[in-house]
Amino acid sequence: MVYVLTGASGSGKSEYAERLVCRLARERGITEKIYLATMERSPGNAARIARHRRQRAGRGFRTVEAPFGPADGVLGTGRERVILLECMSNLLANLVFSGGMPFGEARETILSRIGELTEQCLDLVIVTNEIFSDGNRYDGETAAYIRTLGEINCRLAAAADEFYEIVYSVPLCLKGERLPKKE
Amino acid sequence: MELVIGGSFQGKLAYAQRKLKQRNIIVTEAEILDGGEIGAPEPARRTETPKILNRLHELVRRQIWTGTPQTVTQILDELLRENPEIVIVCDEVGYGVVPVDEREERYREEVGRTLCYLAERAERMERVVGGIAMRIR
Repeated sequence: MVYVLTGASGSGKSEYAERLVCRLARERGITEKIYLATMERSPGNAARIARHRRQRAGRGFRTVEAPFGPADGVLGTGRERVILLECMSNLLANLVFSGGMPFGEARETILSRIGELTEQCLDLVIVTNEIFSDGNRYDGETAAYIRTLGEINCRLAAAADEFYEIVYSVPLCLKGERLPKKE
Repeated sequence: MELVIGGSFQGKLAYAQRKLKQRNIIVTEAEILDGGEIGAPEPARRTETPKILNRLHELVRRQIWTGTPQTVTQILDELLRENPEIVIVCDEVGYGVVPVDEREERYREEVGRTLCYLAERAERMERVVGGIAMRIR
């Protein structure tokens, strides 16, 4: 099953996603929970990475650094695992701004990689971001970034079994079955 | 406590006032909860026991830009003890790209986290779009 969770900044979507993964793994009797970490290490986001790590601590995740997507073979064989990919906005930014990949190519790379990931696990939870409603006008690159993330989100939502906006820790179901009010 | 959220100028305060079906509802602007003043002609005082707390996001902004003696959470805890039935109105501000300015970024993040804190304690949370409310919780 593919779950896509979106939400605003500070909406509690990553906390919700982690709890969801833990429940899915528990229900399936799976022990392997993989956290695909997309945030690039830099002095600027050390505090944020530390906060996410603290939040995950004790939940039994194996963290796999994947700022450009997971490296080939890093997940191992079989499908007996639940994967959390957090988050789409970092992955796209890394590919285009650090990796120099054109937007369209980055979008297709991400979506085909997601397709592969669905074959490598039993449940895949993807966290993305709602960055589309601040009313500001942005220059070329930022505008292209926002548009590309919007396109990715639309395609992810179309492919997902379940699609939710997390509204300050409360899941708002946009597609699929209703998730519990609280994970 | 109930939460009314949404974008700016969506009729959130008017909706909250309709909800309460009371005349002379006292509205306290969040900015003055910490003792600071806003430019309103007759700012409501803390002691008046507000039925609606309006513009919570401004309290968070004030906390980040100028600092307040108590944290936003402490101010809200105290308020909820005094006014457990209060309706809290807050703008949603986190639906854009992460701003370059560090304080602007923190502001969006903190408004979100404050709403997570309140949503957990709220009996009801509604999002108002174009004056129409949608129940989220």
